[in-house]
Amino acid sequence: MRTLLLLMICLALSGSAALAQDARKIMDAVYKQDTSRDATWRGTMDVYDKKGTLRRKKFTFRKLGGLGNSKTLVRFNDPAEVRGVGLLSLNERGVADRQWMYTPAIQRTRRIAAQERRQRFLGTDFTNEDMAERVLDDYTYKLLGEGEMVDGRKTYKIEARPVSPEKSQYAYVYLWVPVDVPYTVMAEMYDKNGQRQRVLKAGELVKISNIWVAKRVEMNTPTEGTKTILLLEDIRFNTGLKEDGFTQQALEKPDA
Amino acid sequence: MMLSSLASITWKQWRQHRLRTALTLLGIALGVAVYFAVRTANVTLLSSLTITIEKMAGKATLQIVGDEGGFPEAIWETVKDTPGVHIAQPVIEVLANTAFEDEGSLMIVGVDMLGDRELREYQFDEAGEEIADPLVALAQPDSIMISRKFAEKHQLKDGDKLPLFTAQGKKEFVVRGIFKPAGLGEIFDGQIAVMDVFNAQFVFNRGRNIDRIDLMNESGVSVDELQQRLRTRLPAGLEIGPPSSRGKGIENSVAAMKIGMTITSFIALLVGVFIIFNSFSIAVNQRWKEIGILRALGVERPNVQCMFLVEAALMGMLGSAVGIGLGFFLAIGAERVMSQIAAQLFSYVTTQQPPVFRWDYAVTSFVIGVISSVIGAWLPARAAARLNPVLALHNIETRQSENVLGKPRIIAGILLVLTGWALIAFGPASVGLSLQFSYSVLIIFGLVLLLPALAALTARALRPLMDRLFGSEGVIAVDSMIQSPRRTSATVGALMIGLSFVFSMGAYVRSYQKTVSDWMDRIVNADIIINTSENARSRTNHFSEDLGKTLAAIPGVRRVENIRFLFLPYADDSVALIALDMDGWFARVKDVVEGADEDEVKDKIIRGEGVLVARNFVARYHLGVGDRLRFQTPTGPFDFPILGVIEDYTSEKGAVFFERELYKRYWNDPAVDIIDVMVTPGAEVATVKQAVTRAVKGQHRAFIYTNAEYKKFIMDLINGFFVLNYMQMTVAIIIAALGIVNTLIISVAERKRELGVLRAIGGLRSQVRKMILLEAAAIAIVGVLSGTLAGVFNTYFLVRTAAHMIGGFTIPFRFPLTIVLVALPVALGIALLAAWWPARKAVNLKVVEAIGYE
Amino acid sequence: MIELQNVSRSFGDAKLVQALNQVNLRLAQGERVAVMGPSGSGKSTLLNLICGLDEPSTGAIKIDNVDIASLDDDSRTRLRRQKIGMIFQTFNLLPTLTALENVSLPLRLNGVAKKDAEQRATAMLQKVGLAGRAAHRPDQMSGGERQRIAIARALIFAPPVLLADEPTGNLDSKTGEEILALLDELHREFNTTILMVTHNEEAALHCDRVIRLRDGQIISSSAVTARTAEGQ
Repeated sequence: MRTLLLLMICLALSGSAALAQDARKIMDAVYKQDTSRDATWRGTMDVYDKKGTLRRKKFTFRKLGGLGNSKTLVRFNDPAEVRGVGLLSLNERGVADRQWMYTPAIQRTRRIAAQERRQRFLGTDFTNEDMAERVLDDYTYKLLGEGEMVDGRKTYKIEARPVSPEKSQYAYVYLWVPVDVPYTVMAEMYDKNGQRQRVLKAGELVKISNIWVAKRVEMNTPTEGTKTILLLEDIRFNTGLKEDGFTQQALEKPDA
Repeated sequence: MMLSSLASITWKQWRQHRLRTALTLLGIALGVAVYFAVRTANVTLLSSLTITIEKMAGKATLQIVGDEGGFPEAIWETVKDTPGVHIAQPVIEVLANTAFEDEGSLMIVGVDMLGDRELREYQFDEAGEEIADPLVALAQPDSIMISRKFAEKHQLKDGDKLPLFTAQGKKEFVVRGIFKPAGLGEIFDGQIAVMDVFNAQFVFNRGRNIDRIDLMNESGVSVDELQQRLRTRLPAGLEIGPPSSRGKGIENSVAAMKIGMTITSFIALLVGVFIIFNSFSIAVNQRWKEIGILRALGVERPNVQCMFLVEAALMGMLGSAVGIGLGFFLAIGAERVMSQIAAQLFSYVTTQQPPVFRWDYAVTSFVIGVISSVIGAWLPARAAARLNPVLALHNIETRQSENVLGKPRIIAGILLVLTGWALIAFGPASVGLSLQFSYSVLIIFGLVLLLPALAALTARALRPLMDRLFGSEGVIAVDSMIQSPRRTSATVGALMIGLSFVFSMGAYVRSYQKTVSDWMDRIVNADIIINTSENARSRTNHFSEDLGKTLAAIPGVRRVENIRFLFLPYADDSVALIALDMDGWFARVKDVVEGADEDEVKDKIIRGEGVLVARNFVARYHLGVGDRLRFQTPTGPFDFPILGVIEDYTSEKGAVFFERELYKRYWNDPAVDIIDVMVTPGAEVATVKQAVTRAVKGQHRAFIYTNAEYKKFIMDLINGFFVLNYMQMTVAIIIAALGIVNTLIISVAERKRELGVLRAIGGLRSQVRKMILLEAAAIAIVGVLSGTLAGVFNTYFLVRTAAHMIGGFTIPFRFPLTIVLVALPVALGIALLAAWWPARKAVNLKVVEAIGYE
Repeated sequence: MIELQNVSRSFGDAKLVQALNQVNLRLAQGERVAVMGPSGSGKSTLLNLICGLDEPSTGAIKIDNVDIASLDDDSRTRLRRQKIGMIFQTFNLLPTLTALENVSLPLRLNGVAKKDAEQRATAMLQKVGLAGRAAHRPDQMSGGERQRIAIARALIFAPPVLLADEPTGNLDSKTGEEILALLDELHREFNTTILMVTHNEEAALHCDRVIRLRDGQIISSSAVTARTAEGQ
């Protein structure tokens, strides 16, 4: 079960407040807190390379459906080089994800093949694995501690280990979930050598339509000195998006 | 024991006659070298073609390849959905030229950038890949990823513009990534770039076609199994096979070259045999006294023969070993020429590979070298064994008379020549080239038998002339030639074979050139011709029809015709396809259609109701007017009758001509390879050409010719192919010259005493030199005469059989008079040059020692 | 006619082999001298020096008062052609040429027109008694005939000097005697100075003087007296 879209990680890692002591229960709450039927927002994605050069892209994001059974459509609108480029991805439980990209310059939609896990997704700090939609059962969890302050919030520190280690580039992931908000506000991903590969920070938590969401997500790659910052605006849930907005025909209409 | 003591005698002989030994060794070495070089160059060319293919294929276990126009992308979907296919990747290959000053070529590989990376890892070293913004790179069709080496060479960095010539004319690409190439990039020496395959389709006007699908089987399914499975699912006309099998098609294409080279190598060996024969004949003559003594001491005949044969075998081994080394270096040069031809005529991209040293070839060459040596030494060894010891121990004038002018020999020779000729003339054409080649060998062999008689006859005829022109030196020179018909005929034989080869090749080349030139005069009749490549054609660079429209608007242009020229798979081989505007073409040619009424054919052809085929095509596949021609096309089977046959020399594989609209309909391919421009009556062609050039310049990579220039260009291309033949001729001449040096040095050594006497009775050094040079000249004259004779037969063979077999062409036989006339002074020059050293030796002879007082 | 003054000839790098040692010799016009001596006594060296095929290490060799050691090879060759005829034990005819061609060869090498040369050669062949064999090649002739041809060739120029190296060495005694008689005859006609190296005492008797060589030195020089009595 994978999905393409950047924001998914935020959503996947978000969750509602739960005071459970059990790590799995804490995470279950995180996974379950997003109860939306659909979501829409505008995003700004800033990618900094190791020299600190910034590449900014703006896009709109639409999602229909919930965890494990969703459709998303991302449409870039800035800068000019990528205006109109669309990404459509269909996640269905039990079926391999299907993804398409539409490029207006050659007016073509093409299938995106399954990519390697460790590969950066479109040059961002998110790897393809990071972009994949996950479910609770993909990991086993262990509560490592309680009380560490992140962004002014007291958090649980949880260790998550992939159930199928051979399918992951990470050996283990540390997650920080505030004791009062069911949302992953920080994550550190470690490889098999115990090297910290990625650091994710989700900040500016807001509650919209009773759903927690981070308006700023930052992914760091400490080993390479690059980072990607995602800023969300105009977040709306349950606006009544229709199925036909998530088809190849829809993908090929950049102005719609 | 006996043999070992004989061997020590041999050894001493070698040391004593170092020069003779060296020349003999060189003779063998050259023969073996050429033989080995040809095989090595051949395998190197093929392997460099194959390696290129394999490296391009990377991890792919199977490849699906269509004809040159590519095939629809939909095939890719089918392939992907075939069970057992692990990964399938569409590929487009474009060989573009940069618009930088060097106009260097750049191999652009279009791959699915969003596809699975596993298959193309070989192309990019992941760690070295830098694509700053993959999204932009995908979104912008002008994005190109270049190798680091290329980037450094042209000082390009991310975001820089890279101007390239494409089907749409000159286009600026933007460097949006730099990668460190793995295998593939190394092959092209960094001249490689990567694009997204769909962007490439768009940019290079390929519609929704791709060139190739690289695929990997799933681990549970064997390659063969998957190949079968795909075969049943995919339309015919697509080639499905492991990357290595693609070399086969290439091998087919270069077969003509290979055959030519192989013939040369056999000739080189044959001449090598002659040199051995020559050396040993002389060794036996020189050592008659020694042989007499040995026989007198009780060495049996077989042992004497054995001694010479062992000596020959030793020489063969040494010479072959040297030859293999020499041949390896020769192969480098030969391969270079061959791959250039492969690129120019067949537009195959090759990458220079170091020659492949094949042990099996080395061993074969070695064995052949030794066997040739033993064969060459056989008759002299037998003669040595048969030497009468009493006579041998006697005096100078009792030298063994050489009775080689016997009638049986002459009759056998004449019979062989006649048989060979009759077989070439009347034999069935379908028995295979190697058998046909043996006819030619038969003739050569017959002429070899006739040589002593020929040499003697010519020498007798020359005697009075030489006497009148050069006095007694001339007479003595000719006489010494007659004196040892065996020695002379061995040299003359080497010369004859060399020259006959030169004559026949030359004659063949001339006949071919004349034929093609006549043909072009009839067929090529546009005023201005625009080509996509500086080679005969380009596999990857095409024009779009838009260019034609642009050109049509130029003042002075009456008409513009687009021509598509490509090769399609046909039977187990391929055939040239020329899709052109038949209406315009027929308006300009006359009386070209054979086997049918031209006007009737014309109407049907223009309506797209059939095809015209080249004469060699019908010969090759035993077809005729009315037979149907079938191709698999992207839109389904193409099935049209042959309406007529035309004389055509486009390709040795044959050519098919039909209406361009018909082609576009079936192949769904609007690409243009050649544009014919007709000029309005009264308009100056040169002026229009200038205007055309202006319109095209900087926009397209195009090669613009006037009618005459184009014909010259084609002739130059053909001549490029003949570079190989010229190389072969050169080898033949070198070997022949070597034969002359060998003979004359030996002749000098053998006639030491006579030369001494000559000097003793008042012959000046200059007179002795003159004599030796005259002898060389006499040998050259006999050589040229017999070479001409053999050459005429050989030419007959080449035009009658070889050209027909290799190219399916009917080339009229033309007597190579000019070549013969040119050859005489050239051969004389070479002979005199070759005689220089022996003459020097003769001049510096110590008279006292030579006369040998007792 | 021929004069050798203190002529020495040594061979080898260290001049170890002294083939001739301080030889002084004078031959008058028309004189016939036989050189005798064992193998290696320097006979052949002496001949080679006189005909200019070899050069002395020291000393002077004068033919008609010209020191041939001072001439270059071509001049020596021309001198040889004009003044010195040579005959050999092994005849040394050119096997491919006919008798007539062999005899006319020196003339032709000297640029005499073919026709003239052949006329003179025919006359010469007549003199040696082989007019009928003009068109034959050496291998069709006997040893005596070959030597006659060789003599004809040597004398075609009517050279003042004839050098003979064992002219009878390869012939039976009867034929040898005939050859010597022929030489006598020709000597009478041309008054040729003859220097003959021989082992044959009989042959020496046909000369005016016999000099004996040993180890490169002349050990004796004596006039032949019995010549007239035995020679005819």
